[in-house]
Amino acid sequence: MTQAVAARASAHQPYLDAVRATLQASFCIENFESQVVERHNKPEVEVKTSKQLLLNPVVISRNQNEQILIEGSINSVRISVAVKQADDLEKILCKRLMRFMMQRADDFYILRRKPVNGYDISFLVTNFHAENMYKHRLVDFIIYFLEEIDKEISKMKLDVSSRARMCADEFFKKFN
Amino acid sequence: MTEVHSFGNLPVIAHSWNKDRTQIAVSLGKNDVRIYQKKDGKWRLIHTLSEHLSRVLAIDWAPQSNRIVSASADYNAYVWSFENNTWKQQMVELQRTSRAVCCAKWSPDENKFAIGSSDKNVGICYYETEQRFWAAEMIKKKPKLTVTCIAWHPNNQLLAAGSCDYRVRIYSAFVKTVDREPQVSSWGKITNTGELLHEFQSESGWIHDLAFSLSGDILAWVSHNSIIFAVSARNPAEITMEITNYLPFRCILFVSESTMIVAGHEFSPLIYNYDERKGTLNFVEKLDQQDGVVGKQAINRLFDQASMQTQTPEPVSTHQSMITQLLPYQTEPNCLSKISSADLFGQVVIWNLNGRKIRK
Amino acid sequence: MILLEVHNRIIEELLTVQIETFLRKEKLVEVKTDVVDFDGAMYHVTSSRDKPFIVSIKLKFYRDLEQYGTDDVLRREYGDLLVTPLEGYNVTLSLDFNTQLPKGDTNEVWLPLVRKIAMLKRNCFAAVFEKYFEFQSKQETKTETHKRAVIHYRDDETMYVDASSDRVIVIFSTVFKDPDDNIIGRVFMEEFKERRRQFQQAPQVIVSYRTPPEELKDMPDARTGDNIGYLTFVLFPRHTKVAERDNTINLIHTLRNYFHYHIKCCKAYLHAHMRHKTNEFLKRLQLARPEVKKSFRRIGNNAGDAPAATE
Repeated sequence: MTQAVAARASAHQPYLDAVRATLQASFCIENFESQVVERHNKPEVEVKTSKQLLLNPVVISRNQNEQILIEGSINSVRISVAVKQADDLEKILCKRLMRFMMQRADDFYILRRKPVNGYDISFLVTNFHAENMYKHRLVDFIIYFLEEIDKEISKMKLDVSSRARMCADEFFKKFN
Repeated sequence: MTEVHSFGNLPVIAHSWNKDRTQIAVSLGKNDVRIYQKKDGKWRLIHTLSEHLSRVLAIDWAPQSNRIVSASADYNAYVWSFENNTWKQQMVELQRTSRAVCCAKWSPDENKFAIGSSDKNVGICYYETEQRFWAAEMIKKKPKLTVTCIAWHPNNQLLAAGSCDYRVRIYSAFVKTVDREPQVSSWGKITNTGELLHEFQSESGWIHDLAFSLSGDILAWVSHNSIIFAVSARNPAEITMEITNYLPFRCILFVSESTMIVAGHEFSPLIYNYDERKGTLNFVEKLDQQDGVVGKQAINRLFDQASMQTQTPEPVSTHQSMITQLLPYQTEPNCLSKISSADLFGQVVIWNLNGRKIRK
Repeated sequence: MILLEVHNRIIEELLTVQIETFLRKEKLVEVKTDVVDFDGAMYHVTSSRDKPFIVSIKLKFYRDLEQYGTDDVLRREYGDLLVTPLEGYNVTLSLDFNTQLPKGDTNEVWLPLVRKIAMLKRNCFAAVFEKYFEFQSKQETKTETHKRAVIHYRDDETMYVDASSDRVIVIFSTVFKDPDDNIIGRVFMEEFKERRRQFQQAPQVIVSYRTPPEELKDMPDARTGDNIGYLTFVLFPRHTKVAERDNTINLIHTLRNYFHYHIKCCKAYLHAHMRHKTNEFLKRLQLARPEVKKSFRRIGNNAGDAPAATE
């Protein structure tokens, strides 16, 4: 196991480690019935009925463009990710991929249909998720998501320009 | 030896044993209380108590009187009695409570029980013999937020309640019609019902559970910021605090006068010892000694994961999810010899404390 | 398919099938169909047993093209196939299989004619290029003899053709209706500019965004805007000489469509890729679900290990 981690170690390992530790602590959530509305059980991080039921939000930044906001509460955690977008192309690729995922929010259980303002994608983990999912696997999923999303956008960007290059080449080749 | 009992995949929100430990009442996160009986090494569902409309949050089975109290998010509590081979419920008249009832516990003498609710109420409930119904005496000086946990003092007249407002309070739970004479306790003079005797402020952390020691002279509680607190009746002004490096604890149980077990988001229960004289809480050992055991189980895990290696280490413990509750299972004079713990993945584990470093 | 076909494949196939049927002396199928093509072209095709095969084309910008001698080019290409246009159409070709089909034993005899008919749209376009290529090779550069040709080949997109003594300049304006297309389009345009260097024989390419290039500064109606791009081709005599002319025209006039086609393809590819990635994320999340959990759950614990409760 340790070997796998070591192999993956990279420049943003400290960032991911910080995220992992914060998530592990934040995922300590439990069932909590609403104090305000009878027979309701709503994620306190969303409804925010009492300040005392919320934890201090944590922002972990790798740089200005890449950060994660972890908002904890007694029965739910909201995780919002800002993805690196260096240029217009990365921006639209990110936007499209996030939209694509959010349209499938039902399958994703923990995906929020709309991102929190200022972020590209948000997850909402409630105590009900904690009751039927492995906590460490959930942490793992978020970390995996963070790792993959950058790679993915770079890859798609590369694909677009290599396609454009091929188109240009094929076109010019035809001239004699 | 540790015994693991599984009740499917659903979370065990609450569990409670009958007197001879042959039956267990559990809430699996649904609207009913299920009673299982152990027969030929297997747990069989023998009764389903379905009267609640929402998730059942607390169950307590009084061993002597054989009555079960159940509390639910539908803001009701019922007392169930076993007559003619069926469980009959009686509603508890919880005046002014219109939010979830989070906790319910029989008093040591089983002649009353206490409840705590989401709308900050603490109620002492007793049977009104003349009018034949379960009445509740609500405490006036109530906590500011949801009451998460309650604990009875062994003298049957004191009640401690923990709340999300970071505070622990000790109330007088004296009810004239059942208790007749108020006693003098180590925590102060008991007079009227619901009188606030002590209020302890924690660092900012929701109180998850509290417990009195076997004599009732020590009160200890755990909060969401991974701190264990203990206070002695002999010096209530001095609160001992142990800041731990573990994930928050959800439950606490005294196994002897000064030794307690805590458990929760850290999947293994931990043993701590309270030294009243020095004013310290000391880590003794982990109850779950699976750590470091490499066996069939660890190897199986490796195979299961082969497709996708996970980075966060797999928990190597008997419980694989948050421990929801700790209960005494078997008692010996001055200490507990077995305890049970329940988790979110449907497991109830019985731990043997023999041979553990427990100060008697 | 990387490069677009210059001819219309549907027309070509329809005609081929009809001719083959005719040559086998079988009964011809009744055909009456409308076909659309790039640049808003509309074809109307009719064919039946006793009437000739008729194909008509409608181009919104035919009037623009007409000024540059389309008629001459079409007459040269199609000769007596050209008939009075059907009402509502710009050009109509009529092919009578009995009299106008070249005689011969193999397909090769008549296939070139089929291809030629399928290239009707291209030949409509050709006139304007041919004319300016001619201007250039004859060194007619004075503004008195010709003005810049302006073809509004789509509602909001325009092609400009101009000639000078040593070059012909073709400028396309193109609009990216979707903001995402705009960004992907820029990547494409940049690559066109960059890659040109590797191909010395190809015409020079100049790319401009938002505002028209220098050459069009006297054109007040040249559009500006964030989603407008201009692609300028500088064609040298090596491209405009008679031998290369057809090839150059084929390439240049499909460029806009080539461009947009590949942007669409690119988006479709991205879409498929995202679907794949999303599924991968889902699979990963599934690992945390109870289905997986079960295989991990049972812990080989010694005494009193009770099997799962039965209900």
